[in-house]
Amino acid sequence: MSASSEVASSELSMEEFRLMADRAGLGMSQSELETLKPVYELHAAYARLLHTVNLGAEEMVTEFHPDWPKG
Amino acid sequence: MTATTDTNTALHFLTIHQAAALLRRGELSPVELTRACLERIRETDDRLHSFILLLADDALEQARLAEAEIRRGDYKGPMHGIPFALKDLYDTAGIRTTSGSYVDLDRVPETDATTTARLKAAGGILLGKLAMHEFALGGPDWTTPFEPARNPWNLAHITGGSSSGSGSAVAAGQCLGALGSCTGGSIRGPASLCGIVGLKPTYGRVSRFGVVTLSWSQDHAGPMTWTVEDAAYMLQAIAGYDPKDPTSSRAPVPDYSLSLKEDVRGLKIGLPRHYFFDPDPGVSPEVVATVEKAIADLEQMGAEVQEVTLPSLEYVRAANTVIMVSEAYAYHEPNLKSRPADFGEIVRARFRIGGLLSASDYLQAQRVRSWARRDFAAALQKVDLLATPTMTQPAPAFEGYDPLATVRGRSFTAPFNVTGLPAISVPCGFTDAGLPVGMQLAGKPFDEPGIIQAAYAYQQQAGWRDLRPPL
Repeated sequence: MSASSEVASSELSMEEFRLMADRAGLGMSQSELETLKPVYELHAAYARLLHTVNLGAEEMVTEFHPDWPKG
Repeated sequence: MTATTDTNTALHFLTIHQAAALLRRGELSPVELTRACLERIRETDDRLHSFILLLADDALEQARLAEAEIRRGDYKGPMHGIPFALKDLYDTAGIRTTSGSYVDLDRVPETDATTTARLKAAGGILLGKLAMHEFALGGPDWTTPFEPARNPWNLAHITGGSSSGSGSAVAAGQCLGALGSCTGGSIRGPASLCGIVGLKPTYGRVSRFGVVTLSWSQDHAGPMTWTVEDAAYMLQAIAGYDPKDPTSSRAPVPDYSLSLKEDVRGLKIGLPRHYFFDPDPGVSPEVVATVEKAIADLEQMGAEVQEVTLPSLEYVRAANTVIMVSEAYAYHEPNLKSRPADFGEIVRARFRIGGLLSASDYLQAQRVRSWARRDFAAALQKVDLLATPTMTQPAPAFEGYDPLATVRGRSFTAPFNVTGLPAISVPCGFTDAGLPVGMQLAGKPFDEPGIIQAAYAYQQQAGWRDLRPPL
């Protein structure tokens, strides 16, 4: 079983999705909202998957120290 | 297979390595070589659509200058007099840089990207600006200003992206090298699907200054060429510290040409089979079998192959996607709100998602990324490099193409954007339908020499470089 299939679906209602989009100030029409919602669900599943990982005190680091892996 | 093998008879099919030798000895003129490329573009670009902007007059002027410099003994190195092209998100002073979007259709930068400037300083001849997926995301989209580039191996198929024009132009012999940019696989992907070499360097190795942003923390700039040695030459010209890029590394830049050795004896290659090779509905068995054969060839050449396990791999695709759309939204938010109609349909939707994810989602993705870096670092203590297929599938056809296909399922390239590790795609064969397949080799941070050497050794043994697309 892949990690992504372990994450339960939590589909929003269209009204909930509209409220989210309004709060973000995206200003979309009803047809745009309907087109975007499945795309959002795809990305939201990825976000939910990330929250299933227990990372303890893990920090966020993006650059490599030139002395990697010591640095 | 209907590929052509006239690689020794046409000037436009010279590699950088071959052309540089002739140029240095005065046996070939940069003007003659530039004219050959311009003629090739005129012959083929009505079918390929690789170029957004052709700079024929400027290129010939630069070529005449290079010719005079070489003639008077002022030879600058392997890029001197070499015609190249840029994905249209590399800033070019005084030359329109559109990122493939109506949003930037009239944008003319005042300064060159650091990479643009370095290639010019190395004596390269800029032929023009190349097609790309809008703002380096999505797929071929007819709601953006330019016709999507087509795959030279089969015009009914896409090139992959987002460096679509870079892939088609290099494969078709329209230029000897190009720069692509890569946030989730946009250098290695089109390189694999177009049968060329694509090198994504270590994060921080090549300046991002003047390269239009998709995702600050995952964007990489790098070369796309016909051969591994050509990628090494282009990388040499653009690598190194740049104070204008806050994430630029001060790690010393080695001489990459010293890595062009046909020797992999004793090299330890790790295979993360659980993610890249095991059966999956989204992964082509034909692609996997082709890459397995290439890895067996490396083993026969003296490399030692062993399996490695990377538990973070199941999460890095998610981290790549969440970070990418979140950072893209932050960058594009003003235009998304003030002029949404100027974005193409695919990118407008993907970018808007970034405004709907939470800060907690973004930070969790960045922390998963830190874990992935440690996970990969541990594996790379046991082996010298990792070998995988570059792409899950050969180039899809335009007909029926799903623009969300790049979001669903596994990505074989994104793990190396998330971890920032250097990775190269080298051609390793063809499908039964004649579409190219690439093998990805990834190494330790700043070990571009290691992946160049392994890819070069494989290339020299495999012989795929003698075949060009049948245009």
